[in-house]
Amino acid sequence: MLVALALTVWAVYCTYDGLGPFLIYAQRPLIAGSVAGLITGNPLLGLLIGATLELAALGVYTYGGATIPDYQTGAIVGTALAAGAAGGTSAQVAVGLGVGLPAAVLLSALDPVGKMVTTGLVHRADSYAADGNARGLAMIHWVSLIPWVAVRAIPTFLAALAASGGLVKDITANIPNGFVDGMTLAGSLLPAVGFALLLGMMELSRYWYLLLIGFVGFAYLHLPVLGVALIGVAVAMLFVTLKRDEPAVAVPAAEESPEESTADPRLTKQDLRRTFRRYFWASQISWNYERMQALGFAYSMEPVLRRLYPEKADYAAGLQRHMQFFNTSVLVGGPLILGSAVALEEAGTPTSAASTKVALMGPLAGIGDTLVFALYNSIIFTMGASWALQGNWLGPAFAAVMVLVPYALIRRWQFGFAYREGKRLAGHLAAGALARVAQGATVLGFVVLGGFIPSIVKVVTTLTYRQSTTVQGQPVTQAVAIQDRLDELVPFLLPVLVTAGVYLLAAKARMRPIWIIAIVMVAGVALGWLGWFAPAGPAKS
Amino acid sequence: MAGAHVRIDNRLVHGQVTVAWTRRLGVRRLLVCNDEVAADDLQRMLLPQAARGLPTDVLSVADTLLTPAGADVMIITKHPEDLFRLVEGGLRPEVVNVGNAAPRPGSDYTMVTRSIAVTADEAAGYRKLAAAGVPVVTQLMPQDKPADFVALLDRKGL
Repeated sequence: MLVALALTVWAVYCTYDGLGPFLIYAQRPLIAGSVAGLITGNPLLGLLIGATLELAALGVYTYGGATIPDYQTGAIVGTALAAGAAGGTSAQVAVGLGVGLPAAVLLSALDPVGKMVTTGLVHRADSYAADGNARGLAMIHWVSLIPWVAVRAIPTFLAALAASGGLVKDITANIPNGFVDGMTLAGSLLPAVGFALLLGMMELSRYWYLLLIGFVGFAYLHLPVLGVALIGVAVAMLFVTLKRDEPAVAVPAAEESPEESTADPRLTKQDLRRTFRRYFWASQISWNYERMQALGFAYSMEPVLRRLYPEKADYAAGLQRHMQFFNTSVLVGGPLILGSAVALEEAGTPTSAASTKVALMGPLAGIGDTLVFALYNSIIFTMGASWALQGNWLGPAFAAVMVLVPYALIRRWQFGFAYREGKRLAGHLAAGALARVAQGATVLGFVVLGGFIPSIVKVVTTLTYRQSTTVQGQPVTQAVAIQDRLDELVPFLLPVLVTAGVYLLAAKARMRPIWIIAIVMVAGVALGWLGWFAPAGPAKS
Repeated sequence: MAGAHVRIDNRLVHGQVTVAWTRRLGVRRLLVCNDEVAADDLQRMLLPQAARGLPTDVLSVADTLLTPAGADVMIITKHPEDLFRLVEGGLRPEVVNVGNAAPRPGSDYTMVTRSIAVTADEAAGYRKLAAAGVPVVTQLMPQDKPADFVALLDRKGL
């Protein structure tokens, strides 16, 4: 019971972390699962289950509120049930994955329910904004977090409670060894799904050859993943530098706004700090289908509006102005928009503040989501998960630190930069800086992926064939391992083929990720059970 | 020649579009179509950067009609009126996907799906379009099933 409660509290935090501060990206399965392992007293199980789900979920993030599998709950519930299961570690991990993945998929059905409830709440916030009632606005903002949390925490609690009984142990007492072998293989194939989905989001036709750099680095030169990443950084810098020599896009001189601007700064340091802090801690806790992040933006702007508009009517109009539909990438992009909105409100140009917001939110969502989800997160979480799979605590710790520090710094910097630059911000952005950063990150992503695929997707065949040769004039039949022949041809051929196959299913056959995961699971369990394939070959003598 | 894929999306070029749709449709070029956006320097410069290397033009309705748009082009209009004007001007879309249409302040709208607000006038426009033989659907992500938009309007009594 105590463990179930602790897991529920953890699920609440994970949900909040992914809507507000993104301190450690706790909703990612690597983090959610690892800590769940600690709570249940089975740290190793948490690491293994969290890391496997993480790799299967690599390319999977929510864009503009599309519902995705709930890997957070899958990792926590999977770990909890695994901890209650009978057998050795590999049998327990098999149970955890067997429950965690379907749970992630099934529980995603609850996600729209939570978002629906917050949609109803946002209309209450509208009337508070019209009355200039900041307290009511803030209350609705924070209350909106409850439905989000409830649809994740309640299933977690129920499953964790079930896991604490002896029932799971009884059910799992007689798991056949073949099933465990099969699940182990399926688990080591699942990263191919993550990599393939990721490739499906990247410009494969344009940059495919960069994959070769990473592949050769790992498969032939036996570089560690970090070494591959360093080569990737160098190649990315090369691309960006060469690109810079091309004639830059002409940037028209900033036009004078038709609105009269008042120059004297009226905002105090504390106002700015308050606004940033509100955005940092709670940017999208009231996310809903109709207005998305609007209430979070209005809530963040409130301290600034209070200072700038002593007249209640103007203040209420300001709140309503920032209650309009808004959605962007909250880690890269959002703080820039917030900073520029603050600067333009202070300059006495509220109309520009509103129109600049609208102009920036789409493009910055496109660039920010790509940088954050597809590139930076994929790289650090893949590295973290690959260490976690070896039972190393450095894995989740590395990912958490690489989220905590850079994202906090870059958000702070964006806000300050955009506030200082004010109207000139648009000119900076238009000069193509963002596009260059995005391209550099894409190049790095491809090089690193080329190394990740062979190092993390683990599959070899254990099949042999009989070959008759003549030894000293005598016909002799000997068993030859097919894997040895394959290795002579190209090292790591099977992981590459599996990833390519999954990519074709996703990108060409347009199969839904849920079905792809199901196919890989079933195929993995079947082939592993039959004993034709395994994550690693038998130890060579 | 097959016509362009048209998407109505008030957020224009963003993650759902760049990451999911352009790849799935094999689009080689984006046209963002809205008179106000085309007249705004800031958006005209920023939107192509958001398209991650895909050639992108930000055009008024009139200029969009002058641009040849085949199956490898995706046209994103900010509002349904932009699309209706394009069709009046002679554009024959392959399919119209109603993506995101946040309620506009001051309008009398009904939420048809979670992310699509429709007014009575817009509903009439969509129906006219469908009656003219243009498939009108809503499909958030490529892996979702497309839903017939007119059937959704029927259900909401629009």
